[in-house]
Amino acid sequence: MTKSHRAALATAALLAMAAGFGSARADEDRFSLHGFGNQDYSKTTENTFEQAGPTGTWENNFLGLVMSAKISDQSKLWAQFQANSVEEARVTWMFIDYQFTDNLSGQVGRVKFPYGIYNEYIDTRALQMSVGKPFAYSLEADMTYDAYQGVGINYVLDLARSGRLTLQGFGGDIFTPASPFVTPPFPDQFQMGNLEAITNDLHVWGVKITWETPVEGLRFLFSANETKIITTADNGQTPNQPGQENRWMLSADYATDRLDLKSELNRHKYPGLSGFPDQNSYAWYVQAGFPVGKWTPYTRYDAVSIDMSQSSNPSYYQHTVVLGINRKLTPNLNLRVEDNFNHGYALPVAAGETLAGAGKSTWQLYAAQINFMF
Amino acid sequence: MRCKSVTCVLIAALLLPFAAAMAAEDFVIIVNKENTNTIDRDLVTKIYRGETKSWPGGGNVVPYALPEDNSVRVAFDKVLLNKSPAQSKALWAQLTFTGKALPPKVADSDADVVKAVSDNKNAIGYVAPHAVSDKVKAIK
Repeated sequence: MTKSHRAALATAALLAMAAGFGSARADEDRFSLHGFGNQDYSKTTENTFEQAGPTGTWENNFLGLVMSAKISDQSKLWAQFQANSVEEARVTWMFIDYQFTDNLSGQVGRVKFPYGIYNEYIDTRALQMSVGKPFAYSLEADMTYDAYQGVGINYVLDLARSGRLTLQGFGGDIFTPASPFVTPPFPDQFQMGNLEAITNDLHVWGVKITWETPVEGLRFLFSANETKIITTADNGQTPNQPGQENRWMLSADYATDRLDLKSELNRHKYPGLSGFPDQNSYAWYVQAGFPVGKWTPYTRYDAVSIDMSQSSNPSYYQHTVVLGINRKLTPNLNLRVEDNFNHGYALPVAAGETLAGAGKSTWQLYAAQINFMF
Repeated sequence: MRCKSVTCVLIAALLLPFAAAMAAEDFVIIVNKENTNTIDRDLVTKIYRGETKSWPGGGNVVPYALPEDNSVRVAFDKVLLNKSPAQSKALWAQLTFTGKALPPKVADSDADVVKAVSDNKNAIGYVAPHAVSDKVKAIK
């Protein structure tokens, strides 16, 4: 991390402490600017990955700025710019929305990928419970994307006493920035027999249905999408092969003053190449946090299988129990620490930094984070 | 049966302090005097949840809120939104960081809310009952 990067984060953190989210009094109808960021420190006991240092440590950070500009009474331009310690600064998403009615709206541009609960605030750690994200959203597991470039439409159905249903549909191209961590064989290059297959994501379409139940804070979500891909083998002989990559996720979310409970199940299928069977993966977790004043102890059980045909091989599965605690320092500034007790090492293998069969099955990962928003 | 009764008493005991502390009488919803829309509790709730962005008669709604530690804000969020100020802030942060909606503007005091609402025909706000003046229209 550069000195200027540290300075930008520190400035943003000070802004968060001084102003805080929701304090803006500028004419936000025309232009608004909000932001968030985090500074993490992690250490693993075994199975280094994500370009950890020689002692298994990381020091990562993220700064995001979200701006909106009014185009007309019905339309706004939205954009998120991001900078972090491992990538070049870039536009995470940028789109124009149009509000046809209170119930019907649409977006055109690079839009946040509508998938599950966490993708709603995937970069904003201040809105999340733990330092690490569930496996279903990890870069290595390759089960979701940052954004798509295309068109989306949302329709809200008021169910009166039965709550509220939001239907989202979208289509376009997948936006995949160059991964800072993941090296072969997963996810965009993977082994099938003696072939190394390279997949190129092309078009995607999908849906997301959110049911906000009449019980305050309780909602259920279903997300699904299909990506057209072309798989190329690197032996120069096997012809390019088109196929479909499929994902779906079921989510449950219950948040009150005293309890934050989330659970999601994700399934993912890669098409097989040259007669090899499809490659299936899954991830699921259940997570609970118990806010007590400024403290929120939390726990998560998380499981992932990168290749379900090898579900008993610790190189391809990982089960983790997370125990942690969050301390609210100010309304917009959080400090949290956690310990991840792992069994299996699928993510280090998927990252290409630990060889299958060469990792340690039982290991821990300690992490601390300070995060903010303004 | 006895077990169920005990459970009910325990739940009531837990909820009672909150029910007693917050009431609709602790705040008054105000709009501009030129606002002719029919405004009910359901519409106000939808506005402050980011679900409604325009008035039924046309024009974008401009909602105003009080700071998180203001007792009127605490009552409003609890009674109308069934949320704590921290939860309502999280909801708006989520809407903002997803590019869906911008949070209500935060005014420092009741007097600032009254002034902002009287100056903008599309504005809506809430204040303590004693702060309502004839410059704005109070919603019954």
